[in-house]
This record gives sequence, structure tokens and C-alpha cells, in this order.
Amino acid sequence: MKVKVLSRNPDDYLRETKRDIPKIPRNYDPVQHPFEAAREYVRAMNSAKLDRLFAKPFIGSLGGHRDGVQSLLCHPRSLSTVASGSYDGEIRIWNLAEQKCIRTVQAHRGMVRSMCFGSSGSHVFSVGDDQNIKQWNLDDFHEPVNTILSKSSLLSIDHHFDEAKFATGGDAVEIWDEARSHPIRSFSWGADSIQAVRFNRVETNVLASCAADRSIVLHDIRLADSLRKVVLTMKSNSLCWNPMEAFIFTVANEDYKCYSFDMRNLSSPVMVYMDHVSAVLDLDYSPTGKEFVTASYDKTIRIFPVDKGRSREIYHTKRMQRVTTVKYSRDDKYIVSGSDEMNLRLWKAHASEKLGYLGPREQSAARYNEKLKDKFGHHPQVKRILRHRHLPKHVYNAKKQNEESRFSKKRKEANRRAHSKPGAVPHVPERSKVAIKEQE
Amino acid sequence: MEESTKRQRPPRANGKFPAKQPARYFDAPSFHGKKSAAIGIKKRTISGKTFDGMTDFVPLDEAEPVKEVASSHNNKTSRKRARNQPVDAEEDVLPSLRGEERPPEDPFEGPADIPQAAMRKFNRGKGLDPKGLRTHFHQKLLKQRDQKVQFSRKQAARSEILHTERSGFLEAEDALEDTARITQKALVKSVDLQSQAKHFDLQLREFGPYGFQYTRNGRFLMLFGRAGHIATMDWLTKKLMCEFHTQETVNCGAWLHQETMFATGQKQWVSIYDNRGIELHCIKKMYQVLAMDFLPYHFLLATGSEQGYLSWLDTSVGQMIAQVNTKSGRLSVLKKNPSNAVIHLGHSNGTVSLWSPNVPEPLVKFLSHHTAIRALDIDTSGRYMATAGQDRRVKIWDLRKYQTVQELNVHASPSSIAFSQSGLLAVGMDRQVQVFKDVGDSGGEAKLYMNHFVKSGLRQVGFCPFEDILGCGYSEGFTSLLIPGSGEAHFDAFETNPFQTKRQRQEMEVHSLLEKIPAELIGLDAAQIGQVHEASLQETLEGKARTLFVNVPKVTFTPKYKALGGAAGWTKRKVNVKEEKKREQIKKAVAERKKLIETLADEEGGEDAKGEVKIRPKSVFSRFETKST
Repeated sequence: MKVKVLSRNPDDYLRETKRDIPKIPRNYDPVQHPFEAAREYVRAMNSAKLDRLFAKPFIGSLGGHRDGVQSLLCHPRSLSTVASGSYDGEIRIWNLAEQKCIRTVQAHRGMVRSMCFGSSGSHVFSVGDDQNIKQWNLDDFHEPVNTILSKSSLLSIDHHFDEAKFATGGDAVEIWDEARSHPIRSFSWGADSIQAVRFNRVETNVLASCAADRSIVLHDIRLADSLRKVVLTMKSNSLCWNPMEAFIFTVANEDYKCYSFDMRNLSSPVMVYMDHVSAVLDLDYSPTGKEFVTASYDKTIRIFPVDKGRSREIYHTKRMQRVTTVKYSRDDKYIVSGSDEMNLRLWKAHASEKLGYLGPREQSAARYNEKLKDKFGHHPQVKRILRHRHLPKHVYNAKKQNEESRFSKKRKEANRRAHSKPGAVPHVPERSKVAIKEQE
Repeated sequence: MEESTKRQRPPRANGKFPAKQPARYFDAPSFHGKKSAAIGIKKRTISGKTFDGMTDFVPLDEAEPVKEVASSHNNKTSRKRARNQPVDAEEDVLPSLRGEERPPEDPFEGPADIPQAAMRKFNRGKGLDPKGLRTHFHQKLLKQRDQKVQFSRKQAARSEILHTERSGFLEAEDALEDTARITQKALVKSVDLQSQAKHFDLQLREFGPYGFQYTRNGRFLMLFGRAGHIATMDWLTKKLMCEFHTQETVNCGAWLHQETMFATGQKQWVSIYDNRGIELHCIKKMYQVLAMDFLPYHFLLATGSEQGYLSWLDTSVGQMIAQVNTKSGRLSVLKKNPSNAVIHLGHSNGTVSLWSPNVPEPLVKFLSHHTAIRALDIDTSGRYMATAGQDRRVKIWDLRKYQTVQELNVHASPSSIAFSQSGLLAVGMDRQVQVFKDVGDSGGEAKLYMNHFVKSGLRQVGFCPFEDILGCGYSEGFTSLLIPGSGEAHFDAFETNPFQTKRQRQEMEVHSLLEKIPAELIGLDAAQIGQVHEASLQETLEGKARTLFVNVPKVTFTPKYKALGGAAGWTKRKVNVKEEKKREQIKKAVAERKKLIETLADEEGGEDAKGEVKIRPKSVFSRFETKST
């Protein structure tokens, strides 16, 4: 007979000393791993619960301004540096790591409307209600390096990505050279006051502006005339380019929604984002271009994934009032918001993420949990846990009211459709409702 | 999605490998036939390959130490020299340089072949068809997911190369020899010392007959004599953990999730003991239990009682999950299906019934034998079930089709049967144990593999997991038999680890508790939670679309008592009733619509028209239309 009996040498399975890591022989045979789906489901459930358990997004509040915060900006090079301007004309520079104000100056008479960093990050440009454009050196913050008196009041400013030029918005969009005291170019297309101007960070000569006459206009600073214009149903408050998809920009609109446009075709937005229950005042893209954060008059901050029409996250506190401005940090980890009640607030971009160093096993566990939530996110139990957010009462009620009115409109339309000739009442997608006309 | 992984090997030069050339690093000692003792090392070259694509080797003792030269130019030339001119003299020059036959291209180029059997084992079924998806984006997403699944399948199949153990076997050397005639005595003589120690006999004459159970990792053994003697031990080292006498009948026993706890069904109630034999719990809700089994992933102890009650107890929280009266007499034959946690019961009228704690009726019930069922067991994959009846027959059932695939006739009514991890079937009857192989294979016939007689009447047979061992409990003790090829050679240490340390055991306990599967998920198809329930999905989707058109009936409902929950509760109840009414309405509308579609489809001829039927909306003028009969 030929015979072999299973006989394991313990040396192959046991570690030699207590300092060794234990030996873990694996066998991936599915028979040895029963209830694969059910166990994964339970794990997904657990990770969803832990996700909500650890969701503590609020890091800290930075107080010091003596009036509401109007403008906010992150330093292009230094992660921890943030500048903020308030209604009383004060500019403060903050160190986020220490949560301290490091410099402060009374910059303008009246409100600091908007600010921007120069391309090197050593200077700050600010525009205020006093029609001044001031240039500040970060190291010597007492006196402006340069002051330009504009002919009209200015509402917004943005700097060119690499050249020594900047654009301001007021009665018209004006392009300035840093070395000159007069604008080198001016664009106006029937608008009265320009709410926001933003340079594209990739196609650096293109800029977009949104105006109080509900229009969004694209300009190229190499050309004499503006490129395109689209008029929406309501006014847009702010605008931001997607840093990864350079042809996409998103506007924060007064009608509680945000709209993403493809600059090549402005006739209808590519995406509509709704969830806010009041006007959206500001927005900023994450550096990955996958998400953006919005600040709203409804006293909340929301984070939207670019490919989904609904927000994935809502941040609010009892003390935070109308959020006027918000910025995503350059490392995709934090969010800074400035609000009416004179405070800056620092938030985590991912509410339950662990901050600080992650070991390799922690990292892989986090990735695994993320995948599990993704895989089982559609199961009602998991979905319920993942989606659950506590809302302030006013938001909750307003949301309910909005839903109701939206639903009743829909129902009315459906009823009308049901009782009309087929095709007489067509389905109009949400996207085609907003843009009134596109001009070239 | 059986993907062909077989690749065409590159054509060999003149039909065979040149005998002198080493194909691989470890073939190198025979290199050149010059010095057999020399071990080859791979010479340092930039790409590790010579110009003709062949990895080159030099004998170790002649390897030239490559000197590092500072300047990059020199470095390059020195490397070149090292590659092209092996140190010594002309006889050391590679044959390729001497202009002899050229070595072929690397015969093992590219990734290694994956064995088809392993690929089949890790098959997760067909992927979804992306054609049904609306957008290109989602189609691509699905494709990517499918690729990942396929990749993981290949990796898992590849990882089998890391398995170092080989499973056991017993083969006859010539046609005259029969493995069934090989005695344990002869077997023990020809195996290693460690395995010899695994064959032993415990003579326990007083308190038998003995039943037993191995832990899931096969390391520990619990013995329980009918007369009340209980002992647990590490049977490999023969270290006794606890031994005591309950002073009453012990009908059955089972290890709980780990070797630290076990449960026994005694004369009246079920008791749970720890590994020192201290009684932790006495569960009076489980009365006169005759058979029990533990579901380790659900932390459920399933018991069958004298009165016909089947109960599931959650041992992690001590909660009774379900207790059903099966109304079919005493339940002495009870086994879990390890693949889906369904409990199989064998009844005295010859039927087998399958139970889940979520349904008060059996999930499946079928007649297996015309006489009482004495024993049953389900194999590890959950595919086959063996039942043994008093009619001296053993039937193998395919649980996917609920059909018998094989039938064995034995000479006595079996008292116990057991599947091994490798699919061997042990049948214990009277004093004899027979082990069959090729059980459940479609078409083939089961063959008698091994045979053994114990001293007195058998009560139980059972294979030890991850060992080539069959335990037999009989009226005068316990014996452990060597059955080569019965155990799985490779365990997964994250699942069941015979060599686990205390720390690992504790860690595993915490993890398994965290991942305790809720009892609600027990059903015939264990993978159901990962699938889409199309019917209910359809209903919700339709309901959603319908809500727009449904006129919600006005409900004038005022709850009688305001006191319960105050004004808020009062309103809540009102809303609840209204919502309930609304839901009913929607459900009705959906059902009506469905019915209408079906009837119209039937009228218009066959299934082809089913999906495309348009329902004409009912208008005010409908009543003037001629009514079709």
C-alpha cells in the first residue's frame, strides 16, 4: 500500500520566539469561508455605524473679527495660512495649525469685498467698499505696498495664475497689470455689477464672471471682447472652476441650487445640485475636483460630490449664522468657513476621518471599510445609517416645505400630462429649466 | 466566464531543450556538466538577461566579484565585461558565445499558468451583462468591477502554489490489494510517529455509550457518556482540560464558538460549561433536548427536543430567537448545513425537513426513506446530504435539486453517518465503521474505502477537521482511527486555526462577535443578501411613479384617546393611519396595473407582446365604447 497521513510539523505553523509575528497560513477556498455575503454585509453595517459614531467634523472656531466675515482665501503655497476680510474693513491672517491670528490690519474703510493672493503667494490684493485696490506684503503687513483708486466701486478680485495680472469686477470686468495704476482692459456686456470674477487655473487666460443681472460671462484676456454669456433665471452669487476638469465651472445660485456648466456649451448646465434651503452664497472646489463645498444663507455648509445632484454632507452648529464664505484646503482634508457672526470655523472635509498619521493597517482597514460602504450602500439598513444627519429645525422644516411645493408642482404637471393629448406636456428635465438664453 | 488561461509555450529550438543549458536558477548545479558540486548564482547584469534573452549563470566558486567603479563610464564597461567574459579561460565561456547551439527563448516567459481546477474553485459566477445599463459610464464601471473580480479570482488561484502541505492518501499497490482490507494496525505501522500517536483508544466502560465532538479547528475533543460523564481534552497532546460527572443523563453536547465553552443537553435542561467544567448557565427554556448543533457564525445553538420543539438560542446575548413545535415527534436527528445555517431534521416517518428560525414552517420537507431516519449529515460545501434510514440504506441527496444521486446498501441500520472535509462518508452501524469514497459524484458509484470494527455498539462517528482522523464513540469508550485523505490539508488561520495562541483566540472571539450574522439572514440561499430582489424593487419603482397619480383618499380619523403620547402622539397616530391608507392605495393601484398588463398581454397573444402593451387611459368617453366580451 501507498499511504500518506496528514502530519503537520508545528515548526511550520508556530513562530519561533514571542517577538516574531505569528504565522498566518491562508486558504482562500470559498468552502472554508462560508456566509461570505452575509458577513460582508454585517461588516458594512458595522463600518456604517462607526462612520456615524466618529463623525465629529468640527475642529475649531477662530474668533477675532469684530464684524461678519465677508471674504476668505487660502494661501496657494502654505497649507496653514488663511486670510480673511470682514465687514468692518479688517484683514486678518491666520495660522490654522495653531488656530491663531498672526497678522491683522485695518485695510479698508467699509467692507473688504474680496481678496486674492498674488501668484507667488507673497502678496495679498484686496478690494473694499472705498473703491481702493490695495496690495499687501505678507511679511510687512502694516502699510499697503500699493494702492490704486478705482473709478467705480469694486465687488470682486482674482489674480492670474502665473502672470502679474489681476481682474476686478464692479461695473465692468477690468484687467489690471500689477505695475500700472490703470486697467489694461475692460469688458462689459450689459451687466451692472459683477459679483464674482474667477480666472481659470489651467487655461490661465480665461476668466468667468457672474453679475447681478443674472448673467454668467466668459472672457479671454487676450481678446478685446467677451466670449460667451448665459442668463439664468436667478442671480448667481459665486463661481468656481473645477481644478481638474478645466472646462467645467460651478455657480452658486440665489435659487438655492448650484449649477455646473461646461464652458463649451452654456445652453444648459451639465449638473444641478440641490439640497440647500436658502440662497447659496459661496462655493469652492476641492483640489481633487471631485467635490465642492458650498456656504449658504440657511446657516449650513454642504459638500457635494460633482457627479451627484444631492449633498453628501451637511455641517452646522448652533452658533454659526449665515455662512458668507467657504474654502476647501489645498490638501483636500479641511474646510474653512466664514460667517456672519464674526467667526471663522475649521472643519474636517470627511467627518469621520481620523486625523494624523495612519499606519499601513489602519489605512488598509479604512480603504476596506470605504469599499464595503460603497458595496452595501444601497441596502436599506446601511443606507439609512449612512444618510442620517441631524438637521437644525429651521432647515428641517424648510426642507419639508420645499419638497412639498416641488412635489405639488410635479403632481400638477403629471396630472396635466395625464389629461392632455400625448406629447402636449413634455417632460422637461430640471437642467433645461434654468438657462434662459445663451449669447455669443 | 471560463477564461482560458492556458498559453501557448514558445516553440523550442530543435524540439527540445539543450540538455546542458540550465533552464532555471535551481537547475544550475548541473551546469555545463563541469563541477557538479558548484552552485550557480545569477550574475549581476542590468536586465538579468544576455543579449539572446537567456539568463546567464556562473558557478558560485568562480563568480567574479564585480568591482564598483566610481565613474559611470567605467562602470558601464566593467558591467559589460562581467556579462560577456566569464573570468577564467576559454572553457568557461558560455556555449552561446562559443558559437554552439543557441539556447531557446525563455521557455517560462510571462506569468505562470493557472491550474484550471483552481480557477473553477474560485469561480464567482457570471458577471452582470453591461448591455442592460443605460449609460456608457456605468457600463464601464461594471466592466471594471468585473475585471477586478476576475483578477482576484486569478490571484486566489495562483496563491494555491503557496500551500506546502499535501493531503493524505491511501492507495492499493496492485489489483489484488484492497484498501478496505487494510487494518488500522497495518496502517499505523507504516506511518510516521506523530501520526501513530493520533490513533488511540480510550476505554471508558462505566458511563457509555459515548458521543463526542471536535472543535471547529480540530484541536479539542469533548466526550460525553450517556450516563453523565463529560470530558474535554486537547486530543493531540492528550492533555485533559476538564472531566466531571453530571449525575444525570447526557443526551447530546456541542462546543460553542470556541474551546472555552460547551453546551450539553441533559436529562431535563441544557447546561453551558466553561473549559474547566464549571456550569455557567442552565437553560430551562430548552427542555429534554436530544440533539443540538451550534451555528458559529450566527452564535446560535439549535436544539431539538423530546417533545418535538426546535429552538434557536443566541448564545452571545442569551436570547431565545425562535422556538417552533415541529409537530413531528422526538427530534433526535438534527444537523446544521454548514454552508447556509439551515437546520436539517430527520424524522421517524422517514421525512427530512429544513428549518430556518425565521419561518415557522419547514422551508423544505421531503420523504427520504420509508422507515425512520437514524442519521443524517451534510458535507462542508452544503451540496450533498446523506441520510441513513432504518431500512439499511444510505441515500446521498443533491441539495440543489433535492434528488438522490447515490444509494448505498449497508448490512445494518446505521446509527451515525458523517462527511469528512474531503467528501469521504463514514457510516457507523452496530460494531462496524465503513468509510466510502467518491460520494456524491454524479454518475459514479461510491466505493468502500476503509473498514473497521470496534469492540461494542457504536453510537457516533465523526471526522476531525484538518486531520486524517475519524473519531468513533461506542458503548465502551472512544477510538480514534486513521483515515488517510479525509482532512483538508490547508486551513485558513483567520477562520480556523489549530495552532492558535491564546491571544489569537481572544482576538478571533472579538472579531467573530463583531461580525455575528443576524439570525434574520438565515435562509436556503446564503448569498441572497448580496443579490437584488427584483420583485420588490419593481414594486417600489412602480409605486414611486404611481404616487404622483394616486389620489389620496381623505381620511377623517381622530384617535380616541389623546392622552397616549400627548398632542404629538395624537398627531403621529393620525399621520400613521393616513400613510397606511395611502400605501394600501398605492399597492392596490400597482397590483391592478400589473393585472391589467398581464390580461392585455394574454389577449394580444403570447409573451412577446407582454412588455410592449400600451394601456389606453380611461377617459370620460370610455363608457360609450362598445364593450368587448
